[in-house]
This record gives sequence, C-alpha cells and structure tokens, in this order.
Amino acid sequence: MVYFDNAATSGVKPKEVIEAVNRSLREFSVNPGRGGYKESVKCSEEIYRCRKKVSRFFGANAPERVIFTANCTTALNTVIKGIVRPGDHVVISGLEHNAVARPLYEMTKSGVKLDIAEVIFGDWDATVRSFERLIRKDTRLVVCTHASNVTGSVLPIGEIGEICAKRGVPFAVDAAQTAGVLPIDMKAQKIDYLCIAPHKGIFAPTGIGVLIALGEIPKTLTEGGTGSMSQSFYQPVDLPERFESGTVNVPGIFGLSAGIDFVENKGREKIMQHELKLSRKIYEGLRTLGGCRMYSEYPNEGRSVPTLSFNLRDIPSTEIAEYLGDHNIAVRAGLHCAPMAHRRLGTAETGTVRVSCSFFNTEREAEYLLNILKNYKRMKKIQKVY
Amino acid sequence: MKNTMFVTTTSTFANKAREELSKHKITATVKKAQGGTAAGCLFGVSVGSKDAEKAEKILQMSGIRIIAVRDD
Repeated sequence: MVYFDNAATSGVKPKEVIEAVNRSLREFSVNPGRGGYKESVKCSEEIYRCRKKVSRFFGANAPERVIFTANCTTALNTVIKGIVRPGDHVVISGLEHNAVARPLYEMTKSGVKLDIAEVIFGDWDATVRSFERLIRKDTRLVVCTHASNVTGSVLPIGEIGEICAKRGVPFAVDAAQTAGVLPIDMKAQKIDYLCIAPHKGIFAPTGIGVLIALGEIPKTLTEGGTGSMSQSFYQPVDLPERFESGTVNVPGIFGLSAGIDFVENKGREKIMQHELKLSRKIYEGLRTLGGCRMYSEYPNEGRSVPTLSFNLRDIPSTEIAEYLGDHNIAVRAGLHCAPMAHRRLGTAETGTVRVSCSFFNTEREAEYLLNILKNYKRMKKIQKVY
Repeated sequence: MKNTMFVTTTSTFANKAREELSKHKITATVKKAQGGTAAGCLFGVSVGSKDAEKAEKILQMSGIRIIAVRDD
C-alpha cells in the first residue's frame, strides 16, 4: 500500500519504535507505580524518563506536568472540561477539529459562550487580530490548533500565546498535526496546555496521547486508582497521577519515547524538509493536472505541514479516494472531522481529498499518486481548469 | 550500611527525587514505602544515611513533598 494518510496516523513506524513496544511487552508487562518489586519500579523509571524527554522536547521543563492520556482528544477534553465552567467565554479558531469543537458546543448547552476567530489564510497578522478582538474580560480559555488537519496551514500560536499571556487568559494548543513536525516551545510560545497525538508526527503507536499542563490544574474528568494515597476516597492532588487513573499504556509510552529519539536522531528539520519536498511535488503535479482545485497553500516552511486538500472538478471526494484505494493508495476523503474548516473553505457539502506525507514516503510514491490521478482524469474526461 | 527513606508520594515524584539527588551526586533508589502509612501506597527514595541531611535539604529546595522520613 502507498500510504498518504499520515495526518490520520503515521502509516509506517520506525523499527526503533516497533522494537521499543516489543521490548515493553517482553520485559515490562507489569503495572508501573503500583508494585514495589523491581520490575515495576524499573518500569516506573522508564516512564519517568519518557515524561522527562517529552517535557524537554516541548520546552516545558516539568516532567510531572506531562500527563499520558488515551489520545489527543482526551487531552483536549481534559483541558476544556477541566477549566471552563458554565457562563465562561471561550475563543477558538475557525479551523478546529471536532476534538475541540464538539466538547465546546456541548458545553454551550450549559451556558458556555463560544466565539470563533476567523483564520485568514496567508495573513498571520490578520488572524492574530481576529483572536485579539474576541478576547473579553470573561474569556476563560483560548484554544487553537497549531495546524489545520484539512489544509495543513499553520497558525501563529506564538503570537496568539503572547496576546493570551498579556490578557491573562489560559492558552491551549491542539498540536495533533505538528508535534514532532514543527518546533514547539511551550514556555517561549506562552502555551499553558499542549495536547499531542504522538502517533502522528512522533511515529508512536496509537492509543497514547499527551497533555502537558503548565497552567492551573484542571478539574479531573475521571477519578480512580492511581497507585498512590490509596486510603483516601478522594483523588490525589499530585500530578501527573491525578489525571492518570487506571493503568497507563506502557507499550504506548515506550513507543512514544522511542519515537522522540527517532525524530531527534534523524533531525526534526530534516524530516520536515523531506515531507515538504514531497508535498511540493504533489502540489505542483496537482496544479498541472487540470481541473484540480487546491484548498491548501503552497507548502512553505514554517507555514505548512505536509497536508494537502484538493478536489477534482465536482467529483465527490469519496469517489476519488475510492479510485485511489483501488490502486492501493491510501488517502482520506470527506470532512476529516473538521466541519468548521470545510465551511470556511466552502467544501462542507463535497469534502476534499486529503493527501498527507510522511518521512517514509518516497518521490516514486508521489509520482505514482500523480499518475493514477492523471489516469482517473483521463477516464473522467475532466477538461475545465479552475 | 544504614539507609534513610524519604517517602514522597507517587512513583513520578520518587523518580524526580532520585534525579534531583543524582544531580548532587547522591545515589538514591526508588522504592515503594513499605510498612504502610496513613496515606497508603506511597513511593520514595532510599539514600545512605550519611547523605540523609543533605538529601533532605535538596528535596525541600526542589519542591518535592516529603511525607515521611524513616530508617530503611
């Protein structure tokens, strides 16, 4: 299979990640932070080492603030529902994934007030002003995606973070598409809560998410056994265990740790350059295809992650994805769980075809994709150029 | 050699304590606090008793909560 659905999850995992997961199952099938026997204690040390690595990688410098969750959605829900109360005001961007939009729209039923900051493609200053205008005295939280999972457009989180800090409003970033891809420094970018999907840009297995909570401690969503303070019927206050009730995903954490090593050893910059190069090749190929409408900007360093959205004339995106699937090419069509972004693009009815590259994709695969699309276009007799 | 156990809270903080002590060249071992405490299920670090006084100061300076100090 030629896999171009890396915005959903990285389709190829580095052998180092696979070996780390394998090792965890071979050597650490124990419950960390509970037992006093040496394997359990050693496992908890490995997990602490991973927290430290994650903390350093994202400029947090606080391993105990690294909370392992089931996925990025759980991390986002933990922040949103743990911080926002009925009557509070929240600002989000107009490109948010349903992982942000749905919890907040549900909360509007209990009186939460929600404003959506318009994202002006290609104009960061105007986008920042959109946020600035909407922040009020009763704004309790600003949530912003670092990059759209539909278009790959990067948002100016550093500038938005600066404004939030000046106005005293906690700032949460959905880094599902950017963690491991773009540089993130929580302290420098004034990010209070960073939510990560390590199975994407960090090549970890699925089933592991991360919340780094440098801001005030949210209310818990889930309570239960943490391996500590067991005589108390109340949830312990100490982080990160306060938010990690139940057994943590040990293989996922080992995979995450190895994934960060992989990104650092290969070089995040080098990985991104390769992905952008492929993205540009595909972008240029699509532009010359004829009848192709692009919804992503030309992939530029710092302004794009390697995700492209397009449509061919008025053909349903799902039909194109199915044709590609028949030729062993994996892409994702539809709304990508981001209806807000599709409304902004005018594709809420049709969806788009999304192609997202990884370090493990090759130029040959990009050429194969473009050739299959050429064949498809020929078959459908698409003439019109937008 | 006699050891002293600093009971912290969770295994995360015990590991953090070990790391802080290692920065000051004090060898510490993460252990589950045996014998039961009022809070139950706690972890801590064990250090050689000769380093205990210095270790206690380092842990306090690092903001690591110490629940109890006991012979190990």
